[in-house]
Amino acid sequence: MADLLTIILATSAKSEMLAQRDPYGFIMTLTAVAVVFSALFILYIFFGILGDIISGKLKKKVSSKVKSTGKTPDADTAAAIAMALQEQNAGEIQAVIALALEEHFGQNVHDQESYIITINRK
Amino acid sequence: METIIESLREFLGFTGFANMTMQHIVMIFIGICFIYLAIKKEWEPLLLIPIGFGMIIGNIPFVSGLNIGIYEEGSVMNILYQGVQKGWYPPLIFLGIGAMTDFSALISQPRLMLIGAAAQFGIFGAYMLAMTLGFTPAEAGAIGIIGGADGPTAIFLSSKLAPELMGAIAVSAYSYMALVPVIQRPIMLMLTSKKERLIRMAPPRPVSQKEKIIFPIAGFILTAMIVPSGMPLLGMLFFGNLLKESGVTRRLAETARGPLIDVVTILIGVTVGCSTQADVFLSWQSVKIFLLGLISFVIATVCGVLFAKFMNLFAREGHKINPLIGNAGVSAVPDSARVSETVGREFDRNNHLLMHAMAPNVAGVIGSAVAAGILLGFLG
Repeated sequence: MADLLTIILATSAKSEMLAQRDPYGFIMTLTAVAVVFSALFILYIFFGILGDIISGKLKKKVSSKVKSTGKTPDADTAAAIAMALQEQNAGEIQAVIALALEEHFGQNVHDQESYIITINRK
Repeated sequence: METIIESLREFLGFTGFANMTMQHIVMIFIGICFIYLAIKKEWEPLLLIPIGFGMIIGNIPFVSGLNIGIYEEGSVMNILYQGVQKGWYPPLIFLGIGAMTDFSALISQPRLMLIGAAAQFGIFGAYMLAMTLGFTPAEAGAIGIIGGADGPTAIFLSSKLAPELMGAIAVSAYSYMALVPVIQRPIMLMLTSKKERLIRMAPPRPVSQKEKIIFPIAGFILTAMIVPSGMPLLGMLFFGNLLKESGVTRRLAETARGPLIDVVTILIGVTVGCSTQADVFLSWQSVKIFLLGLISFVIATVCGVLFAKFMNLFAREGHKINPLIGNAGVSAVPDSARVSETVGREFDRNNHLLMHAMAPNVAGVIGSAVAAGILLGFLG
């Protein structure tokens, strides 16, 4: 109880002063809102820039990998899917998907395509 | 024989039945209601059950002088209550929150932090209203923080600014946090058009481990430098997050987000409930606090949603924000983000907003801690 009284007495002096200077709390509100926004705005700017730097670096890493191997991991995956679908050869749809994937990602998987779809039914 | 009857009469004078008043009955009934809502409706059961039972404990009438009451120096309950009075339970809860929160959504879409800032208008709207209702600035600040929708922050600030109102403020904050789906949904629907509710947000980019480690360190330094008075809350929040993300302190992170936060939640819940003794709690002032708490929640939700719409005015096509995530700027984690998801899926079953809503939601936690620091700096 004694602690409680000490806290009340300590805060009341500051509180009374503020009540006289800013009876409706406008100044306090404007100041506080500005500070909250600034704090989060600074975080926004900082992590925005950090994100750009890191994702930029990631892009660079990916592009350097493309240069060295000649194809991206996505193209590899797409080619694998395409080949698996072609091997399965269960119908026209798979063949079309396979061709589309090859065309979209894997121009470097095959040199030239005849663009003639042939289906060997088993 | 006469002595026995006299002893029995004396004993009966000590019982709760003999000292019971209408106020005690009302408070015990409110405590039972909290427990009912927690079990039946599953509204914040981890908080409402300890608070509800604490209310029952705190409102069993007794003759003073037995050194058992929460306000009696040196009693067991009084010792446990020190964590609330001195404000060291809330930072420990923040440590646990930090250790269980994934900030990836926020790191990948940092612009959504501003929604978390806008929702803090609720705190200051309620502050101004409380001032006009005749509360002192310190009391108004403690009441306003209810709008932050953050129980530990509300307890932390009220213990410093207006300890005599802490019971009412804490109960009000936790009650409205439990009622987030009921309060926010109609406001979100009222402020958004059908077209806006159907906006699909671009998927967030993947976040690297390096960014996740930098976030708590840089986040703490930047915010605590601006508002040093928010250091206990911000420090523990970001420290807990670093334990989680560092990848080498798994045991500490698990303790912080598991046993530690559970123990502190039990202690904070029961003692806050106990502190609502009828003679202290049942007053017109408490009614005003409950009303102001509701208004602050409404203002926070309105500002969050409207700010998301405002940001859309400047956003390029494909980068628009679904304003239904605006409500998540209040820091009731993850309840308000869940409301965004639920309301969003009512209009488009395949539009998942939870991941996006978590960004303003965790920004709200940071924002309310910053706001508490400012109020403490000015008024403490």
